[in-house]
Amino acid sequence: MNLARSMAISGSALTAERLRLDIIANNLANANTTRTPEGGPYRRQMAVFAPRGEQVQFMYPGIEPKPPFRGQGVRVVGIAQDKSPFKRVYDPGHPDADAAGYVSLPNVNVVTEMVDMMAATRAYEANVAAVTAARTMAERALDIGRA
Amino acid sequence: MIERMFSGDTQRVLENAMRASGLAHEVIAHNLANVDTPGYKRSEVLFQDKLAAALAAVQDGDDQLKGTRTNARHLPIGDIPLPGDVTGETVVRAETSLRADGNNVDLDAEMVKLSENTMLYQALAQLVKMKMTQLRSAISEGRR
Repeated sequence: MNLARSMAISGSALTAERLRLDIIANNLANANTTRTPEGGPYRRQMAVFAPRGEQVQFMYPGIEPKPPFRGQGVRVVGIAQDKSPFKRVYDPGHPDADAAGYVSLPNVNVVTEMVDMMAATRAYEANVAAVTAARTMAERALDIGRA
Repeated sequence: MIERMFSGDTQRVLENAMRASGLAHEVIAHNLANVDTPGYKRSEVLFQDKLAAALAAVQDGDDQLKGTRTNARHLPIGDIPLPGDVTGETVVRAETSLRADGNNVDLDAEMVKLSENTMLYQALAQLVKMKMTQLRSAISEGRR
């Protein structure tokens, strides 16, 4: 087993899940932001994940796939913006209210963000468990030479 | 004689099994890394079934008929390797979908496979260690 490769795979996932948590935290922090440098309220952001390394999707039984499959973890290919419409709330006293007295609030749903946050935390924990397992295995392999 | 000491059948099967188990760890880690990747399909390593088939072939003596492959795209006929030559093979499981986004990584199932594989690796390492102890005992003529 290649310890470094296993660690790199799990490490890439830890980085990706942490970035996802950062984005969720940013969404929550800006759940009520009505002014952005681009103008208008804050738009919800999402991390887009893609596998790293070549994927062999189809093969004949009994024949070795060439080149052999080597997954290298996960990577964040981009941060996308949620295109769904903004929330409209009637609040004529608000400084960003339009002529009809409505304010556009960010399209951030706090409940959705909390659920995503839990999913990201669980995924992070699973990858930490994989790192721990890799270390245990390597330690046991080192133990072979010991008297 | 001396080369047989470290390349006996048991030794080679154990070595390949450890290698396959290490590869299996990599594959499980890759599945776990992509638990939230839309459209990702999980992979797994085949080793035990291949080894069982190779052992059965040796036992039944039906490893005589073999088709010769002159091209990599030929289908193998009766081409079952010897138990010592069986290696792990990665396959993609693309038949199922667990979620609406097409991903089929089951976090619980992967975690079970992870701990299962870790224990298997540790057991194999223990066996290799015991084999080494046997050798050492033979070298020292039974004296400690």
